[in-house]
Amino acid sequence: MNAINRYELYVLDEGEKSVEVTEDTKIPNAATIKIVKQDHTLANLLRSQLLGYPSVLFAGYKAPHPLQPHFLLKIQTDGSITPAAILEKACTDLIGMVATLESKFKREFTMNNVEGGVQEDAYGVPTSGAQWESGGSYVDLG
Amino acid sequence: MAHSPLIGSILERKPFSKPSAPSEATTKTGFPAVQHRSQRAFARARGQPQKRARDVPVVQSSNVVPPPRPVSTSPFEENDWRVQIEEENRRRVEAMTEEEREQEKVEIFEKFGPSIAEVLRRAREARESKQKKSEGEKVGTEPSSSNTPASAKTGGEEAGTSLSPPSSPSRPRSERTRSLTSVLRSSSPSPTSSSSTRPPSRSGRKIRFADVTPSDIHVYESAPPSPRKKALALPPPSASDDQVVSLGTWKPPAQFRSPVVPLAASLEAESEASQEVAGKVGALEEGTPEDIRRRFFPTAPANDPSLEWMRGTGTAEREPETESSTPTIRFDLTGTPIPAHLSNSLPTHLGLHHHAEGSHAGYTLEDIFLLSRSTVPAQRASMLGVLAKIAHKLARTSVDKKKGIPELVGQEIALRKRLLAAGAEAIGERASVGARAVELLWECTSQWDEDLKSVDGVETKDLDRGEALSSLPLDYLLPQIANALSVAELPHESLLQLLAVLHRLAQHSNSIATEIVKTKNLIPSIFQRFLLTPIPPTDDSPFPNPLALKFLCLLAASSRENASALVDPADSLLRFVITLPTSSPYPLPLATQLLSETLIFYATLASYGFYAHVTTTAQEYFLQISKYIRSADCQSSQLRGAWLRALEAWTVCARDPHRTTPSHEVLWSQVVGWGWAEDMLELRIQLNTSDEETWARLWSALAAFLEGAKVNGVRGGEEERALVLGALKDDFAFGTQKQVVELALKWAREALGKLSAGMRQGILASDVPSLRDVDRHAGTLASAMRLFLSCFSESPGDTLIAPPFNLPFGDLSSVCAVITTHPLWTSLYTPQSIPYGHLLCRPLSTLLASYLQLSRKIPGTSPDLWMAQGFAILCRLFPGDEAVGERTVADIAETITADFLRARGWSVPEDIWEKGGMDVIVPFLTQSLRAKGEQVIGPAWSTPQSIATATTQRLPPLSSLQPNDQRDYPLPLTKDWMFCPLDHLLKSGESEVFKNLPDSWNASEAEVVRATLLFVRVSQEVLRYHRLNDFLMSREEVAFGCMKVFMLEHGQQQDDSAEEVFRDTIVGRLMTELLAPFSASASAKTLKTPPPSIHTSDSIDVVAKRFLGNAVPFYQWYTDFVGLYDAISFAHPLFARLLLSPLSMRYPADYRKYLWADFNHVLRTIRTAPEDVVTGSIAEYLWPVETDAEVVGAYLRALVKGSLEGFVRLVAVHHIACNIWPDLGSVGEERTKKLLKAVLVQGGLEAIRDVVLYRQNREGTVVLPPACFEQPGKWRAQRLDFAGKSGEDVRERLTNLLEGKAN
Repeated sequence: MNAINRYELYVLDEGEKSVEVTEDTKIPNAATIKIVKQDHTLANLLRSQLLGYPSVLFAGYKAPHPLQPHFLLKIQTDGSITPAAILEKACTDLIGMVATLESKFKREFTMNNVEGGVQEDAYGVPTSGAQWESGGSYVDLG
Repeated sequence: MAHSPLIGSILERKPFSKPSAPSEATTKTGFPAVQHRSQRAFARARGQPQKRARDVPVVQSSNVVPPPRPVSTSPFEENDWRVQIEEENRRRVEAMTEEEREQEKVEIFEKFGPSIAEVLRRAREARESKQKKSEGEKVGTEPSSSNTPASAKTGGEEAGTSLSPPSSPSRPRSERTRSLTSVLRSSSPSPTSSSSTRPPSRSGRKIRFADVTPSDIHVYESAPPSPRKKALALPPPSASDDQVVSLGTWKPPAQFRSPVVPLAASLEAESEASQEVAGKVGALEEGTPEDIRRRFFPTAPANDPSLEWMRGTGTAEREPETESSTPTIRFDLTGTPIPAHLSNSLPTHLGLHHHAEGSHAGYTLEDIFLLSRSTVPAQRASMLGVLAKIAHKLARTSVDKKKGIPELVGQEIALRKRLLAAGAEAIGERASVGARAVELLWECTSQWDEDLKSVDGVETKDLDRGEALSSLPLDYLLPQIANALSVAELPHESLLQLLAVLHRLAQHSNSIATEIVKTKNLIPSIFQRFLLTPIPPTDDSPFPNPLALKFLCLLAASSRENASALVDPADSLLRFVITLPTSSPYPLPLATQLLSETLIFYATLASYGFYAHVTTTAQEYFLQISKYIRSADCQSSQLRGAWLRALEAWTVCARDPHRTTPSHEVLWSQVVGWGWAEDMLELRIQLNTSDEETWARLWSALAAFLEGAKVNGVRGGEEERALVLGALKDDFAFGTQKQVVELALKWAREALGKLSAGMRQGILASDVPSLRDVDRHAGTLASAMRLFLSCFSESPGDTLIAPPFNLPFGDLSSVCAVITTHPLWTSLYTPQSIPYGHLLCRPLSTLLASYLQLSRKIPGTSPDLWMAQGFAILCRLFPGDEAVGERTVADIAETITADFLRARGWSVPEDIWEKGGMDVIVPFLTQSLRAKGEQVIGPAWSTPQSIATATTQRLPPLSSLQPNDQRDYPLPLTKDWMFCPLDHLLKSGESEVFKNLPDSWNASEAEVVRATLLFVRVSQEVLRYHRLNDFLMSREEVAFGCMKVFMLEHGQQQDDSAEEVFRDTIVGRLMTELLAPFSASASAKTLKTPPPSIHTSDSIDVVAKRFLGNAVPFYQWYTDFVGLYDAISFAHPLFARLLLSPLSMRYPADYRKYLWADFNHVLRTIRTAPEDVVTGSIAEYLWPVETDAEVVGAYLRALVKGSLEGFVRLVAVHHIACNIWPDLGSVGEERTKKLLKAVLVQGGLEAIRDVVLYRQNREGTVVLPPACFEQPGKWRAQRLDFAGKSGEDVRERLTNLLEGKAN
């Protein structure tokens, strides 16, 4: 098979840089960022984080080839911040979010052990609380 | 008997008013009735119990001629005697003393058991109810159905022994119904029985007897037996013969007269009583199986299944009734369907009963198919004959209801297949079976589509719906036909039919034609049988057949290899050439026809460059023919035409001797030496204005000569031109030829007018005659123009200084304009159209093509006008015109230069010209006009190139030319063909162009795109400028073309946006300009609502199919397109605009689901303003309101989450608002409340405000933001009310919004 070695999916080659930023020559405040040894997991996360900022005009990525472990992230901003900076901010925010999530999870997990558990349904969702307020960010009208 | 019994014997009684008909009494005579076979004597004997011996013979005075009985007997008459009996019985009972009555009662009870009173009472009730019923309904009642209870009464004495409880459950239903029917039947008079009634013999009376009486003859007349049979029967007595005593008039059996209250129904309805009565009667009858069993085998079980056969007729006899409701068609031996009411009554001597189901006359289709495989040759032959006749009728069913078999409408195709199979199966048989099989095949092939006989220039595959012809086992059939032809045992007519079958098969497709040619011994047999007949013809030998020559032409036209296979035997046809028709052993018309067909055959061979050497080998004979044709002896315009056609073909062959196969077969010097041109000019003296077609041929042949002279003549053929012009110039100015051209123009115009008047859905068969008229005149005009053009010397850029001769240029161009924009071109492809319409349009495209060349030479034509004409006419070319198309495209591309555009005030960046301008794309444009497959279709006027390359002279079937399919044949072009260089870029892997590009070509992708877009843009501009709006691309075509530009980046590896073609400023600008006329802002009409329900142009997925083919759906293309936008677009505005195209409500929800639901995050980057949307109607995106819950959910998500802008925001707000507010059409279910709450809870202030205050018109004009949020009106209060229903908190939140702004 033509699949590459598993370790090549995450181990950087000799002298390879994991992030490479190319400022776009034609479009203002735009950059193409090549991130190697990563795949959709990170790319999708970054894109949705970026699209949450009002100063981002465009954020998208493509993974040019499924067997090549890198992707190209394209960011365009409104000029108040450079693409590289907003990417950095996005990464920081994401890390923060993950850290918060982790600590929250750990706390809940220990509390769960201590108190013997809150009332949960089969999927581990607390059964109290209003449907709308705590629900998802949109309604599934199906 | 000591005392008169209560139930006495029956005495003869006088009828009250009318004597009962003799037929009534037929079986009561005591003599077995003479029964005709058609009455199924055996069945009757079983089904109908004999009643003889019990009935008193009806004595009838012969001087009372009984009047013919009315068709339905009234029960009253039947009851006359019963009333009488009753009256008599009553009187007798009254006269008895009390004791006597008592004694009688006891006696009866003794005899019949205690239940007799009950039985009789019930019988009486049944009779009365039945009588009431029949009085009420007045349906043709069975005379004896009311009769039976009486007979039960009268025959009571004997019945006593076998009287059984009538409603005994052990008697199955079938038994009862059987006996009922048998009773019913027994009473129906048999047609023949009347004759068996013995009439009283009186002296002095002559009575005529016959086994078959005259009245019998009357019965069967509806299906005439053969004349011979009719003579056997006695003729009916003449009216004047008063010696004749009528024996009564025959009445058809009652069940055929009027379907006696459908038996089944009456059975259900008529209560137990009638059944009991019937059952009792059945039991009373002597000789029934049940009766026998009781009498002689009392121990045997009733209804012994092993004795089922004894009463089996019961069910069989019921069939006619059920069948008459759903008739299967039965045919007689002439293939005519027998009406259902006759098939029961026809006699058996007609030979219509030889099938399994014996009671009906005639054969069902299944019977015939079965019998057509019989091992008895005679039977098989006659059935094949019937099939042939049925096929003949069937083929005409859809056209003419009267001639056809309307019962079989819709089954023609399936039946044709079966008929063909039946014929093919029997084709190998000898003698009459073989002959009939041939006839059947002939009816199913060549006779089936009669209007097709002269359609040789096209493969007629499409006409064969259901693929009947393609289903033929050719590898079996063709050797059989070859064998039949070589042995020639069959009669000559059958052999001719075989020839016609072969002709039709060859018409069907080129591959079948090839198979025919390849079949061993088939072609030689055809030559042997139809052409190489003995000379001089003997008395019993047939003449040669011109049809065979036509067939050979067809084969030769079908493919190059077929033609080359026919070259060898072609020599033998010289026998028709060497003797002039006048001195031929054959009659003059036949000889002329043979000669002309032979010449046409040679011309067909010459269109591939074959067999041109015949001009040398047979030169003396050709000189002789030429002399004959020029003389006044020759009156046949057909021969002249054929001769000119052959000369033209050979002249073309001679132009470039290397193009013929083998080369140098005919040389230009020979053509000059033989003086063909002089001959042709001389021929003109013989022609007058009515010889339009010959003139056309003449001009065409002369043009071919001048075209050749340009290449081969001294100084570009100056002398030849002078020679021709000298002879023609004056005539074109004042003489006959001027008139011919003018008449052709006039008639062409008239016929075109006729055509456009009737043409709506398509080219129908009724349009063909006028279309053929147009074709003929178009051919004349085209030839005249060809001659005109050939009179120019070949110096480039030479416009007209002085025309070689006069043509009515103005009229020509107006006629051509009418033809170009005629509706017939679009109606060609509708499903209602005849499948060979394109063949009929071919002369028109030839005319247009030559006009295009002429137009360029006319000084008045500006380059842009010519270009517009070129773009328009290119769309009218057919396969075979590729060369013309390529030349035109190259000429157009040459015309588009910087100067050309500057002169018209269009500024185009210099970059394009620096890279070579249009030269960059010319290879793509010309290549895409060439056929992709191996088929090269010869043009209408062969050229030295075509004779070397053409593989067939016939057009492909219309189905392979459908404009919206991906096709092998690039012609006819679609309106968006100019985008084709992009196709080649997108499919560069498989494109032929890249393999054949010249070395100097080194353009980049962006340059190709620029040039293409400029080419498209120029074409649209000139077409619009010259009002050729029919040829402008539609919105969808342009949109899809632009999508292709973006899709060039799909799957590309580069990661720098600088290389992306769509970011090229020139490309971007050109695309914007192209799309400008199609944006919403281009016209105020786009704001109209409701959206148009009918779309004049093809939808974008149909347009896409031309490029994508059937394998890749447009949806897949769109997903790739969206994915590309998501990845690399940087929110390119044009890219975003194109994303919106398939999102309108006109298209399926899948597109909206894909973009809104799956790619929700990209929507905030689509900032297209409503005016910029590429659409003809904004309302199309708004109405009807979205109902798909997933899409509405996606709208809501996009609205509350992100900052939607512009058009997408309008769409989202619109559909959400319409799903919430009753005044916008929401129905106010639970879902709407849920939606409203969701908006209020999740949405930001902006989103809530927009949804709450949004108001849109359903009819009139679409209101765009911000106006749609600011309309006053009562609806605000209504909305508040509505919101209040979903809770007080909701109302409170909305009060400010709705009331605050209202005032």
